[in-house]
Amino acid sequence: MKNDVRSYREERDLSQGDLAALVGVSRQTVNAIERDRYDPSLELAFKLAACFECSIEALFDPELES
Amino acid sequence: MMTDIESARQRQKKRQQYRRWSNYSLWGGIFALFAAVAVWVVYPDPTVVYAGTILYWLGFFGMLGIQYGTEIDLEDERQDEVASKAGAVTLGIAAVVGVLLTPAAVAVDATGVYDVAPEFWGIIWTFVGLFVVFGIAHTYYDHHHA
Repeated sequence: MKNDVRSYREERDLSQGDLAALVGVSRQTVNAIERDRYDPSLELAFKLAACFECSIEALFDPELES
Repeated sequence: MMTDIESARQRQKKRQQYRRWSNYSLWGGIFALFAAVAVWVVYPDPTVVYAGTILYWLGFFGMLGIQYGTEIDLEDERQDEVASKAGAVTLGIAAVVGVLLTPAAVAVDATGVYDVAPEFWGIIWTFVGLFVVFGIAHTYYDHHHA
């Protein structure tokens, strides 16, 4: 799933490891999300959105076809 | 949440430390078993192998103790998903091998073309046992997530 996790993280000057620590996952998981290789669970998506104080929709683009 | 970064880093360090200990425990046990067998070759006293087996068990239970005894999850959701997918692929391969080989083995054994070794049937029954366990686990989780 396309997402802006990387740009949000870099705006806040956080390393992947720091973001991973904040949301309770491994650095590799944050890396996989940023590279669109892993779609996070709803719980993790909420945690990421809370961490960046934005909505899930702002962070993730599910590219749904209507 | 941004102010929690130091405590988050500490939690992450703790998690990595527990993972390391968990791995050390398991690999220590495996190494102890191999070392015991190596010693047994030159000093064939069964006590050596029994001691190696007990150390291996201790290493295994040590790993479980660390994994389940800590309040921190040592694996995250992606690692759980990776393990789940790898398990599914392994089971799929076992199923294909079992489905293809079992009837062929029955056919050649029954017609007397080839005597299938008893070990082969042991492997097939092990597969069957694994699938029974999988079926029970699948049914259980299916009901609990329905």
